[in-house]
Amino acid sequence: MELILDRVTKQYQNKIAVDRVSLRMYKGVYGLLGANGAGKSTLMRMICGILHPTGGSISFDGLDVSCEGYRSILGYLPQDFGYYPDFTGMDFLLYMASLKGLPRSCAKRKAARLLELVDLQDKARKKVKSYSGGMKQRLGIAQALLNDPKLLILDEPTAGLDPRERIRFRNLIADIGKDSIVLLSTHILSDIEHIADTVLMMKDGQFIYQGKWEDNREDLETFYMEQFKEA
Amino acid sequence: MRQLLYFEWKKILDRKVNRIALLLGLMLVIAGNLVLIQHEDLDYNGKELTGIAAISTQGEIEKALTPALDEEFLTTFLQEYQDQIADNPYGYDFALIHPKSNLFSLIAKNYTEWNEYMDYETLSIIPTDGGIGFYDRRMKKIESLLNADYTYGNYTESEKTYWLERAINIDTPFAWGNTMVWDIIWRSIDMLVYQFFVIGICIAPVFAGECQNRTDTLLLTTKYGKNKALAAKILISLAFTVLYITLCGLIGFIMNVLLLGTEGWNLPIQLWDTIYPYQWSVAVACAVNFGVILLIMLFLTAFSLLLSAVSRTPLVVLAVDIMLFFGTAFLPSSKSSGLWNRILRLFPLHCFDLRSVLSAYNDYPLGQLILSYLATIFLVYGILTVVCALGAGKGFQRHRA
Repeated sequence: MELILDRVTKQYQNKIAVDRVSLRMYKGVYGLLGANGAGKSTLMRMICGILHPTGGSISFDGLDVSCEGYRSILGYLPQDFGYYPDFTGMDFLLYMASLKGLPRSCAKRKAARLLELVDLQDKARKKVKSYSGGMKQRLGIAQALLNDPKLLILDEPTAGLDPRERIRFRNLIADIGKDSIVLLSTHILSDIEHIADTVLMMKDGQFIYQGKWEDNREDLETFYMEQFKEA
Repeated sequence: MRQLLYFEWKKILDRKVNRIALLLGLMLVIAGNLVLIQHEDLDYNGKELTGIAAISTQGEIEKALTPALDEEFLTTFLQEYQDQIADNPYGYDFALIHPKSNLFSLIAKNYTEWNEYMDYETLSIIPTDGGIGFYDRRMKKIESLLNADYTYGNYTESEKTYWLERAINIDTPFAWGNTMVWDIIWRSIDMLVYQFFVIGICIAPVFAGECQNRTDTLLLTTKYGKNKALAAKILISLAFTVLYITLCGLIGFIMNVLLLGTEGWNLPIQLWDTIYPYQWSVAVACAVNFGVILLIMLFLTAFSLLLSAVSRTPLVVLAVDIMLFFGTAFLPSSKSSGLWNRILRLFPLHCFDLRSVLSAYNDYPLGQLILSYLATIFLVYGILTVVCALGAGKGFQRHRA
């Protein structure tokens, strides 16, 4: 299981959002840090195939980012997660399951199990427009997990969750990272500190740091500030 | 794929705005057809009749006149009329015309020049000695139309031959009877044009709504998000239009048939205008009218999908749709460019007026091949529908890039 980013670049007229980023990712949780505008979301959107890189390539076990096979192993929770207001939570998951190619009977089982996992089983038949922000975020996490993704991209997944839920999802993400590649972007450093095997720091479209976190013994916040100061 | 189709269907029907539009659209169909049946007429005694009674009375009067419009009947019919109004200073008598107005209109129209408005005074000056030459006059009118000088270009010899062959091959004498029911059904079908608003409102958010709801990023990252999901959206949108327009058409048709019957279904369309160069019954003509409207609605659906795929809000889609639909009706025809006029005639609002399409003798030569206006409408809108539908899928895939 290997995700290869090879000199991935995204340029908008005069601005380079992502600048020749290269990386090989294996099973585990990768924490992506950086200030707003550093290029984190652009990089994630390119890894998800929503944005086309202006240069370089992205592949997973030989599958190009643009092919259907690549998307079938992908789970994605965008930062600005949208929903269908007139769908119920269950409808939404069943629709996402059909988009992900899950057979109908399997989809129902999976949706019910995930709704239970994100503690929305009692709200499954309620319309999504009646959900709170945290409930919508949990539904978003559930949809990302529907196809048991080998590559899970999470953009601010714990935003809007209360502390108890955040800890629960942190553990869930760490579990998924044992069998999959998880790329997690967040501003909450403690989340990265607790679950990321590898820390990636981005500034001006480039990685200014990448390394295993257990190699560094100091506090992540201090380390983060140091890296950005030096860069 | 079935699940995807189901959810796309559900998305269209779940939107509150769509439901309101559909409800209003269906109410318009019922109300419109009830208005059509509110026909007013006078019987032979001058008694005013309205609604179904008026339609059936006038139908009975017209039907009793003759089974076929042969020269002998038409000459006698017109002679009697001319004798009765010989001393009338106005040149016509509406009281005489009114109970048989369909036949009088048909005769008057046949003797009115192709570029003039029909006038009942014509009836008093048609020579009847030795027969009125009704069918000869029909062909002369068509020849006059084909041989006239047009500032934007005249008919070529091959075009003239094409149209004359079509016109000559129409069976004569025309069978005669009551076509009022089918005239009402025709007008009921014409009213489907207004359902354009319902189609526009329901289809505009199919792709643009995904951007508005910010679900496009999710959709495009799923396995089928860039292929089957887009195909499902396009197929369901087209199916929605077919089902909805057919439902509206059926409601009108069933209402009219239940209230008025189907009498006259096999009579020729030349009873509406003698120069129509198509050997169709009025029922077939109504079916073709429905087919043209349905096809143009399908094009508008595909065009809306294309706009929806490249814009971020459904309102933009609706605004452009309305401009294409109504805005182009105000574009002037050219006095010098036949090409421009041919293009202009292909805009939706012109094509919806099928009576003009059938009687206009417009064509589109493609080398040696001459396509009638009607055939060109089917060809152009068929191609445009496919192109726009395919473009919608591609457009949505790329709009985020």
